[in-house]
Amino acid sequence: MERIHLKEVSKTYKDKQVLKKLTFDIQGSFGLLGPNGAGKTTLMRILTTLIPADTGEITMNDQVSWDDQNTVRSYIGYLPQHFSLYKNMTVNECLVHLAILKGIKKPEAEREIPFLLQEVNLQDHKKKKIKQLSGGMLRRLGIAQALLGNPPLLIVDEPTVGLDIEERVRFRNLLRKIGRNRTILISTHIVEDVEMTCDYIGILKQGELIFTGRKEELKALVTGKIKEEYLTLDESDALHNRVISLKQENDKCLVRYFVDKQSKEQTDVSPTIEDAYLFLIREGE
Amino acid sequence: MSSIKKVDTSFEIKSMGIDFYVPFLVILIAILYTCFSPSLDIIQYTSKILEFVVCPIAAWWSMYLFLDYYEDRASELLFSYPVSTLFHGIIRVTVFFLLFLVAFFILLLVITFKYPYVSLVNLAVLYIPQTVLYCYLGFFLMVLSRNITVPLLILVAYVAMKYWTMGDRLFPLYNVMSFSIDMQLYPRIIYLAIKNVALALVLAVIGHFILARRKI
Repeated sequence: MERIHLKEVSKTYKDKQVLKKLTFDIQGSFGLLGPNGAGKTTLMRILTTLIPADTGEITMNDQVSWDDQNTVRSYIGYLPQHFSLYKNMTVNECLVHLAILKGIKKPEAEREIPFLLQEVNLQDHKKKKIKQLSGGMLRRLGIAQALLGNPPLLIVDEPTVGLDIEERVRFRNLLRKIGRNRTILISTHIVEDVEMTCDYIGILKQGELIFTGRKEELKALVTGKIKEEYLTLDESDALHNRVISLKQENDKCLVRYFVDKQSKEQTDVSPTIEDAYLFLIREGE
Repeated sequence: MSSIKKVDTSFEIKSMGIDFYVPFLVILIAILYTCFSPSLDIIQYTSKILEFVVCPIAAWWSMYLFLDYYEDRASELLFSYPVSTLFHGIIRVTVFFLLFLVAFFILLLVITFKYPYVSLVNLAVLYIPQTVLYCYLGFFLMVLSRNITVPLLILVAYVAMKYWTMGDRLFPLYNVMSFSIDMQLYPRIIYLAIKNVALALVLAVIGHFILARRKI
């Protein structure tokens, strides 16, 4: 599988430094997490060659440099957050056109598209106009176009935004499936997306990479730092920003929160990606 | 695959829907007017129709080709494809302009049949440079504003003001139109044609650089 190496990548808009000397590797199924304004979309746009980085370099397998934009574009399949185009055209016509733009010859595209539609479960909708597709179907069509030409690197921005729960689960399963044999980068602020689809995680905060590594490594950061117990609302309020989650049960709340040290009588609470993410994001606040 | 080979005109036409036919409709109306106008004196009105309605409509497709790019925000996806900026902009615009020219040429031929003393060369020098300018002006305004309403309004306002002032200093902006009443060539008209083509080239180049620098 491809490995993308970023070395000291920076980007500044006017006076604001949006990305600060990012150095890390993207490999396997990689989830890029971060709150709004962390710089995720800017990084996605640099990786898809839509905007250039001010400084730093990006390479794929130490061979292909991001300076060679046209070559890089032929290696990338991209699904932006907002995917909607050619509303008057059918699913099949749209994919054939996009395949031609990717440099795939028409007969080859016509052979490939039925397989892709089957992969994203749109085979029964190929004659539907794009304006007739639901939000979930549109996202799946977006994945189909990204997979055209079988690119080794797939970049997906905010994959599940605006989808209902059922479509969300279906879309995550799809991403998991297509991430098995290629490098896939998923940028999102929804922790669950990454938890269900990625093996590697990077966390961006205010343009800086505050964590990169395997999912298990991220969870290990908060092992023994979480407590779960029933508290009153007043007691939970007193915990301020240490609260991770709160579940109302009758007159009490089951509160999950960060502790400095685990007490002896405390039962084991297995950490989640969300716990670790919140821990890192709130650190220093 | 070279950029030219990737131009899929039939797809773009279908994607535009009924809006694609607007320039043809305008040209058809102009042809019908020319054919069925009763008097030979009508030539000055035909000239006005050409300069104030038919030539400006050359900008229509140049703007509509970017509707998906900007109104549907497809630019973020399409610019990530292995296709040159030249393809997204000037090549597609020029292909559709050539299509416009074919229909426009038929209109010019009809005019020469109706008014035998007007030569086709005269008409070509008079009006084609205007269509070239409107075509790339539409492209330039569209990539600059990234919105179809603004360039449409600017063009309509410009043409309307020029119609009311007839090139007078009341509206002291560059005159694309020749305000010809006899469709004959004079040195000032040849000079205007050269200026229009030169300005069109400048707008095409600036539009291309805007597109290349500001993809999203």
